[in-house]
Amino acid sequence: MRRWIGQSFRRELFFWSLLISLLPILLSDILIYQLFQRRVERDYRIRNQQEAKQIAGKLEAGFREISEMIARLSESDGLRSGILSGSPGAESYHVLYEESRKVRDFALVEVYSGEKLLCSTESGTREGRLPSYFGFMREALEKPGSPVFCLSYTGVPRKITELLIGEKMEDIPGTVLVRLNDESFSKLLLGSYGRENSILIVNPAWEPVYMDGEKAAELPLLRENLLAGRELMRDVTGRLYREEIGESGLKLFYLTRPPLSGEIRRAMGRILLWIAFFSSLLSVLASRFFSGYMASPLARLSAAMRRLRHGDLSVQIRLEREDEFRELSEGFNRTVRKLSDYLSERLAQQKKLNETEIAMMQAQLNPHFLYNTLDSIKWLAKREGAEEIALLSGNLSRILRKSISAPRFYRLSEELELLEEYCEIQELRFEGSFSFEVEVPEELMRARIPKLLLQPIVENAVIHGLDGAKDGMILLRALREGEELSISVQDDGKGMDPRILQLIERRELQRFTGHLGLLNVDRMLRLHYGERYGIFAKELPEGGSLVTLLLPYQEEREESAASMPEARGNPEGEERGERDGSGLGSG
Amino acid sequence: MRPPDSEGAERRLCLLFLVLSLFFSASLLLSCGRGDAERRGETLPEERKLIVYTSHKEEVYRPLILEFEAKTGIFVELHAGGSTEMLKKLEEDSGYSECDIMFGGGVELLEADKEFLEPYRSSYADQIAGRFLSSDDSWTAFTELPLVFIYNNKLLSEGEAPKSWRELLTERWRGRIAFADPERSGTSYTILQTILSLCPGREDEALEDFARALSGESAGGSGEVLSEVESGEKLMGITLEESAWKEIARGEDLSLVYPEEGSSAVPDGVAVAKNAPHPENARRFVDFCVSDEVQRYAVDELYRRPVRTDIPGPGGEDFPVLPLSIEKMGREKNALLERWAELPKGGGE
Repeated sequence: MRRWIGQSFRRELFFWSLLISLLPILLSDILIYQLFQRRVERDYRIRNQQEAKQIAGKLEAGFREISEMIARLSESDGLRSGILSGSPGAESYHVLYEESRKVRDFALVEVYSGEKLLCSTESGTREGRLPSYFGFMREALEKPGSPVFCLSYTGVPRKITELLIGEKMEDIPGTVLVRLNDESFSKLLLGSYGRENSILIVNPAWEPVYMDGEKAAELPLLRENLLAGRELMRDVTGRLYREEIGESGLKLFYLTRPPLSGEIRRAMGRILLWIAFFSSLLSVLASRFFSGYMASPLARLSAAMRRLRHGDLSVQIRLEREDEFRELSEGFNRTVRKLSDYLSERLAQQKKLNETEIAMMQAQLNPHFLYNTLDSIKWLAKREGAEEIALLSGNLSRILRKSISAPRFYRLSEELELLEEYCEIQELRFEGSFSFEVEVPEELMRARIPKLLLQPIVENAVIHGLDGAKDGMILLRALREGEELSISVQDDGKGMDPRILQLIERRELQRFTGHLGLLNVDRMLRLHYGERYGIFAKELPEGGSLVTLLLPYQEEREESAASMPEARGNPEGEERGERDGSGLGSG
Repeated sequence: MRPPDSEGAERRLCLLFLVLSLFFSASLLLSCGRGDAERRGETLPEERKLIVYTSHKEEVYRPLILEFEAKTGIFVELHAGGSTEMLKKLEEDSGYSECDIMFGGGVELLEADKEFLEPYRSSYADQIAGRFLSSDDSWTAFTELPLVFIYNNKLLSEGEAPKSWRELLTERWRGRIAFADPERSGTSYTILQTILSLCPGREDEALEDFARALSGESAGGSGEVLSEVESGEKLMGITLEESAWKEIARGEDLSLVYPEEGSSAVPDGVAVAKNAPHPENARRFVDFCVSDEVQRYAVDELYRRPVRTDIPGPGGEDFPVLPLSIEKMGREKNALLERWAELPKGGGE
């Protein structure tokens, strides 16, 4: 998967922009939900703690009421005498009813003399005894003057669970006992909490004294979990708050519903899911657009490169961008154009070379017939004794043969032979005579040169230089300088037309059509060997002109020369100076 | 160009930041409040716990448990049920060390199961009457429970009421006796043993006679015996004195009869379970059960008879006590029940 993403810049952009846009949204989504929930929980918790405190407060108030009443009863003479005498009398009842007015609202009050029930706020006479060795009485007798809270249960004749609160009087054997049952607590706590919440009041051993509320059935689980060593809220749903109820040793557990009910949570969850879904969708679309826009110039560049590789040199990129991509595309275009130009130029050069070859070949083709005929002329002339005719046609024939034969290069020595024959012909034609001198060192005779290289130069010297003058001189020299061969043809004639000199000097020979020979030679040299070589001409101060040819020195080998154009003609820092196209390599 | 090291370090820093922020948000995801009571760790140390299995009724055990908790500060985990049920649980759970005390059940049942009990001689053993002592202290007697006849006043007058055990084996009471299945009721097993003790040498016959007298009907449990008599379904029943008095206290129109021959008074007991997880507390509970206060409470409030010689009884009618060897009863229990199950219960199933 990673590789698949990595292979496309566009995919990478898409993936990363998706991640970058999606992650914050999703995280904030969750964060919002969490923060909201925490806030609600916190507010809720504070409120519930208040309520729990209030409930405990109400109970404490009730207990205080009881405690105060007990104090008053303990001090009442009327009651005390009743206790001591063991029979209540009207006085005792009166006191009891008076002082217990408030407590009577929610509880039953009894006064005991010893173990025996003296009087009670319950209507109807009742025989009552509370064993002093057990339960409430036992505790009260152990701590006279201190309040005692005791959970009591009797099963026969009826099941009664009561919270007994009371005190043994310190100095006399009287005990005040207040009995609270479920109804008592109901009254005390009326309106303190909503029905959706539940309360549980327990004694120090966590035995239930009173419970009420929607989830009351779950409350006994708290004690079970405690005993089993489990977490308190196992299998109990909601939020639990705890308060101690004053000094009584009783505890209040307040169980409330969770603030965010399952429904609300689900609704929120759904909303968040929709938000996540839509933002994801948006992210995907935006990322697609973004990655596409960003990556498209690269893709186009890549495509253009591919086309280029496949040989399409016309490829150009047009981008409507202003940034670095624009630079890239412009650079690309320029490079392609230069490449294209260079290749065209090379093609053109190649074409010209071919044309030259063809021309040469054509030049070689026709004369087969010619020199055969010339030979015939020569023999006929010889038969007739016309020696000059025989010489003309014989030399011409040889010249032609040489130029027809296949190898396009031969030794300098052979060219010199040909030149001799040529000069002989020219001497016959022009009645004036001229001398053809050759100064070529022996070792240079083997130099390899193109065929008929020097003939046009010599011709030029004969026709234009000497121009019919008598006793003209043509001197041919060859000189080797390092890897270069320079062959010069000097005449002492009238000199060359300055215009032509200029053209040669400036290498603009193609402009002047009259001197085709020189043109050909120069071109051939330059094409074969490079720009640095070719023809150079100047007028001599002593009269006459000097035409020099420059070409690389090569020695003639045995095998026939296939065209081996010498490529390197341009060392760095050449006088021509242009770098466009000329620095490129050839095949 | 930046050296490759610092570029890698920057990347790692970014990654770290990313991971941290993910972690932070994940922690927010997982936390949620549960109210303040949750936050405070709540543990009750083991030395303040006691696990009690009881077959007593709520009116008997609950006041005692509350008192025990108030006096000692020990938290009692209570499991209540029928005697057979609880004994079976005892057998299983003592193996897992999940039970401290078996409270209730006739001592003959405890005797039968004494391999699951841990012997303990209570601190008040010297004050307990000889006939209530276990030979090896496997169990401790709690209260004495004589068997009595009960009958519905609306259906029988005093003259017509049953008077003796032998009477029950006659035609007169055929199909009219409320009697619980001895498989389920320890009391019923004791009743059988009582009858057999009156017919030495003729045990099998007596058993058959009694089975015939029942005509194949037996109540589900000892509680049903009472309701059958109260409803008039049966004319009489055999039950514990304590149960009878309670019903009468509840206002039922019943009367008691102490059989002429006398009555067995097999006590119920309390015992420490084997492998008890809180043995110290268990022993305290046993002592509690036979303590002054509880014995007096049982007499004063629970219509029972004490097992201690130094505690005054209810002052009700005295009766000859038919001695039954508790040890024998324990030994013979399985065999007798099997025999009983095989007997044709006359009159069809």
